[in-house]
Amino acid sequence: MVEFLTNFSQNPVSVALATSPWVVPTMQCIHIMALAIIFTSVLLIAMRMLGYAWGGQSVRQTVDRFMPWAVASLVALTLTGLVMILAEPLREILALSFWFKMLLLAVGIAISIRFLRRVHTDAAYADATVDPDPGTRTATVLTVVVWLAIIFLGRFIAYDALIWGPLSPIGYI
Amino acid sequence: MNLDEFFASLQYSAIGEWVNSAGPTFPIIESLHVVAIALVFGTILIVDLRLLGLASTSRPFTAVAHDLLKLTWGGFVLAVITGVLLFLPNATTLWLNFEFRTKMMLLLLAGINMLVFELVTVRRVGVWDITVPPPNAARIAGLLSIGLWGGVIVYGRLIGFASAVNDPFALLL
Repeated sequence: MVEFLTNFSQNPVSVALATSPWVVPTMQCIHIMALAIIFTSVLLIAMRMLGYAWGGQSVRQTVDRFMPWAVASLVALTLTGLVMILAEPLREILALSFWFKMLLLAVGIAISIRFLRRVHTDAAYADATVDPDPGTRTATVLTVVVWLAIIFLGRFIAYDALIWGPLSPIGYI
Repeated sequence: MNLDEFFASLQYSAIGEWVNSAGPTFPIIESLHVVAIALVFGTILIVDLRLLGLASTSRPFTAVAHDLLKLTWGGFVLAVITGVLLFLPNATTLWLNFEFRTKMMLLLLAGINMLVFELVTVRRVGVWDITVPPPNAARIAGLLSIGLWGGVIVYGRLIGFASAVNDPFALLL
């Protein structure tokens, strides 16, 4: 795997991206801004579910306000993330933090899709005066926790061996 | 005591040494800093987009701002605490660092922009609270805020490329 990735990292596109003085920093900046947007979007929806924010508007209206921004951010995060992987494949693919992050990302997206389907089919969510059911409320809080963990794991990619010790494959190279 | 001595005393203080000690202390503080940035930038962006008349237009400006104020300040306090902790172990080089100084300058300008907006434009909020788009003074404040806070993120990220980073792949590139 290390050998394959080392060879792969020598492909012309990766070399160009990795040696560019601006590509990786620019991708990281966009990645942070997009992550800020998706995190606050998820947080505001959870706060609306708990009755702490966006009062006077239904859950469906709140979701319609924040979800397009969250989806656009997810696209930006994916694209900038892919460029960073291409630029530094060893640093990303070998990191345990990267794979835990991807796992939690899948969990977060799965919970969100279920939640969105519910919000758009159940008429109660279009009524600003109806309290959401406790199960769905818990799901949105869980999404916030998942995104918090994703933020931590994203930063941990840069310190994989330090965080996971001998468990991190990066410690061995 | 001159400034060099002052920053050296910070760097070699017990708390500075603690942040820099082996183990996951530094990455954890850095992750918390990213969470704080996400809160500050994400919530400010929601307010700025409302000021520009581009989003959340079905709610009065004061309702949008009220919902987000505590999150913004909570995030800002967390960003300052974690930011000071991250500054300490590299105090002697960081206070001379161009990217760091630019970031502090942009933070100051963002603060001035907010202060002018709060003291001048918000005074007449009763007139434009539900107006879409809001008056030019409010839109200019929103646009300046997005630019300045975006700049804070960019220069904050660039500090990491200017100072020595413990990157196991630095030698491979």
